[in-house]
Amino acid sequence: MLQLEHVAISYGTNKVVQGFDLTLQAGEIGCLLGASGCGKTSVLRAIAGFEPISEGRIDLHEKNVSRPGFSVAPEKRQIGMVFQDFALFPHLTVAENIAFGIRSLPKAQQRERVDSLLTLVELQGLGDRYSHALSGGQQQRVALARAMAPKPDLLLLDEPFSSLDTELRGSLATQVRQILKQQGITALLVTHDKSEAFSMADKLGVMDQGRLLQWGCPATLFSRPASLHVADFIGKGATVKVEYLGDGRIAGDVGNWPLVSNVSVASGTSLSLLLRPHQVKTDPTSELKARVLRQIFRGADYLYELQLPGGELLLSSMPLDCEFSPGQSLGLSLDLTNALLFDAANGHNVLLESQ
Amino acid sequence: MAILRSPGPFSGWRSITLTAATLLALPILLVTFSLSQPQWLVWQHLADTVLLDYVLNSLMLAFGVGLGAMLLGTSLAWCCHHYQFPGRSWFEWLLLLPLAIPAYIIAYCYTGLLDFAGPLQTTLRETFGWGYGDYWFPEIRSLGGAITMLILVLYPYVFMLARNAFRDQSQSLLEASRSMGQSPQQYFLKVAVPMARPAILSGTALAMMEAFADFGTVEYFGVSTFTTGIFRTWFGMGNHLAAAQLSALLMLFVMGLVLWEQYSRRKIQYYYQGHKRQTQARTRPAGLTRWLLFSFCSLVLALGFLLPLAMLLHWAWLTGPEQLDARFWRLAWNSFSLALTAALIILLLAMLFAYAKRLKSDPLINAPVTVAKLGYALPGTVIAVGTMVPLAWFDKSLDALLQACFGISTGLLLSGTVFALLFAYAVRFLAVSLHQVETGLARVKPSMDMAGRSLGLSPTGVFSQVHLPMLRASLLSAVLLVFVDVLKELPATLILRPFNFDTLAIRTYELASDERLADAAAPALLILVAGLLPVILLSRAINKETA
Repeated sequence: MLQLEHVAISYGTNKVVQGFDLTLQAGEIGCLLGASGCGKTSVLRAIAGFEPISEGRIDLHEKNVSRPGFSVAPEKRQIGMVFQDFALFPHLTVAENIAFGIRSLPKAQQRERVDSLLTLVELQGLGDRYSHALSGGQQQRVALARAMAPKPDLLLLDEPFSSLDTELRGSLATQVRQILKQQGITALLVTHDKSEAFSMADKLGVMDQGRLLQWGCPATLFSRPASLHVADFIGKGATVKVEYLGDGRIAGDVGNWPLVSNVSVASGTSLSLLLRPHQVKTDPTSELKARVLRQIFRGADYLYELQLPGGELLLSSMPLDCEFSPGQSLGLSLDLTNALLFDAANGHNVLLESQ
Repeated sequence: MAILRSPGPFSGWRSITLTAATLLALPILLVTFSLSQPQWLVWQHLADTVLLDYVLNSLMLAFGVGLGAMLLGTSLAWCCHHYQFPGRSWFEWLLLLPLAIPAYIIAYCYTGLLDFAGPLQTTLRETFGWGYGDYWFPEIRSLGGAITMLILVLYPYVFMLARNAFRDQSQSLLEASRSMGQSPQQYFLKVAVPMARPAILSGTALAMMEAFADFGTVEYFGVSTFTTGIFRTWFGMGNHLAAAQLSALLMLFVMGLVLWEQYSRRKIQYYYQGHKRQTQARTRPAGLTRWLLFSFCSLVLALGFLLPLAMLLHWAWLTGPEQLDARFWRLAWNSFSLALTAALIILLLAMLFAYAKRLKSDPLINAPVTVAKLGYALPGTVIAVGTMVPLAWFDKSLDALLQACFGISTGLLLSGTVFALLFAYAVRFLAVSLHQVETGLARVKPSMDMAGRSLGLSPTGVFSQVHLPMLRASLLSAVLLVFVDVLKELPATLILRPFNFDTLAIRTYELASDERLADAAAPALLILVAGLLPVILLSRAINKETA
């Protein structure tokens, strides 16, 4: 359905996106996750036809729409777009905004389509309002309805929830996913918010400095990140230095541990071990000791910042009955069943796909 | 931005934009460069005779007007902001009305009212049985008179900006200062005014620029300033280069003010508090004070607007029947069609520059546009001189060329035609139009362009179906503001108009110069009524902001 092959986007001599490959099947919701300035919005604009590409190609329905020196005009691409600031036209009513892309249809059909979309986004009866009289969440849904009105082949969403307050974001993201799925719409959204990405995406990609680091389903990215950077971006955790001893064992300040899965490196290699908070538990009998630096109350549990004698930091989530005060020393056990190991030199995942 | 294709380096649009911007910057640049060829003989003569007068009178006029407008505008703004008294909310916009009256017209009104044969002195003489020379009466036709006239119509600049600044000060500031033991009076002096200072100074600088630019008032009152001096050097002595150099000198003073004003304005943002403000509750003073405040505001309104208006109406009533002949309507048609043509041409130029900037910021175009925008701060006399020099040169060169090649004489092709007038207006009022267009265009966010394209519109479709509807109000006010400005403009029109081409402003000026003040009332009244339009627009915009 949508295919990007080795796409590069340049402003002058500055390549903001390079070597970008991505495939999206019909009906899938894809999501590009990355910090601001990583080039994700440029990718979206290039797909929509607002940005020329300097290398590679973009195909839509197996038809080429962009290549260097050639670009199908945005209005000819059948691509809908929802903008970060919604870009609703202030001189038009909600209904007129939604009908903007279907002006060529007969009036009666326009009205029918607008009404069904208003119902879909749960804004019945607000068609005569002007956008400035709506709340942020309502404006967001009008923007979605407007982009969906011409029944586009592909819907692009540029940070669609970032101008809403946090509480609204989560519920709206779920709602929007439901609407898209119900209508069978193929969509690609970009965001810097991982919880948003998790609640929306069938396929997820993490971008950094103009490159797509990994593209896959969210669970894969979480459990088998290709690099330390992806793992870092996707979930909280702390890394500690360890050395691969060979024979499936690692050792470091955290002690000497057996590994469950095989690794692809020679013995003696320095590795980074990523430990998520849930993998670090308290065990009074353990020889591995750490000092409590800080206790953070999170409602359902505590998050502890711990320091190993060698100075390295660990994060640990513990139930509320595990009450420790800063300065206190406690014994730790590590759950390395799903532990992630990366080459300390280049950040690549060194675990072999054996399980 | 690839929404509406950005022009390549040598595309047609870019060349047109670049040429237009350069031409508009030319008069100002030429006046500036005229300083490099000093006319020593003329300067010697000027220095021996009138130059000192020009400099001193212009400076005294500007500083007198600045000081007066600052005090009057700030105190009125504080009254309307801080106190609750009868009619307060009305005064908030009524006190803007004097802006509608060109200074030269208010000068004619007060001359009619106050000079020896006027109703006031006549009444005094009849009441007390005095004769000529028996009593002292202030002479309105003097520097002091000119300063007073200009203060009366220019204080609204300070009033408007100061009031906005006071309004932006939050209630908590007042409360904090009270809780630290300051009285409301001390709050005014130590917090409110210092915080509003950039706004007050910015308004003062604008009033001073207008004072430097004034021609009609000082000419009528016989006060020698730069503007009248330039006029005399141009027409009386026929020395165009010297006139250009005088203009350049005046321009230096005005540029100083422009820099000062921009510096103040930048500070306004700095002083502005971004958080949501809670408007200060107004103080309700004791009964007598309330009526004193009311009287103060009423007095200023009466002096700055009602009295001159009454005077004009009275005269128009007397002379109307004979003045409203075919000639008058031809005059009105001349003025209105000229002003409308100028407003439309300037709008097109403004849109050209605004879009050029929106599509792609191009320093080669930005630089001349920035220079041309300065035209708004410059006196009409200076612009006229700056326009005349290149046009006359062009006419002469073309004539000489054609004479030499084909033996035909083209005469004066551009100078002395309506083209010269329109060109000068474009230099003088581009900034007004451009400001409106740019403000409007800023509301059309780039994402709206993209939304339009992704919903099936071509670039031209985006322009006609998204931009134009959203810009409508801005374009309309751009046309209206320039229209009225052109209608009121006196000195540039006086210098550049084609032979026998009269406008309302010119006719008013000529009749008044012939001491036919009553006859001048009809055209003056028409200018005043037209001038009310932008003031109403302005007060509506402010009210919307407050709401």
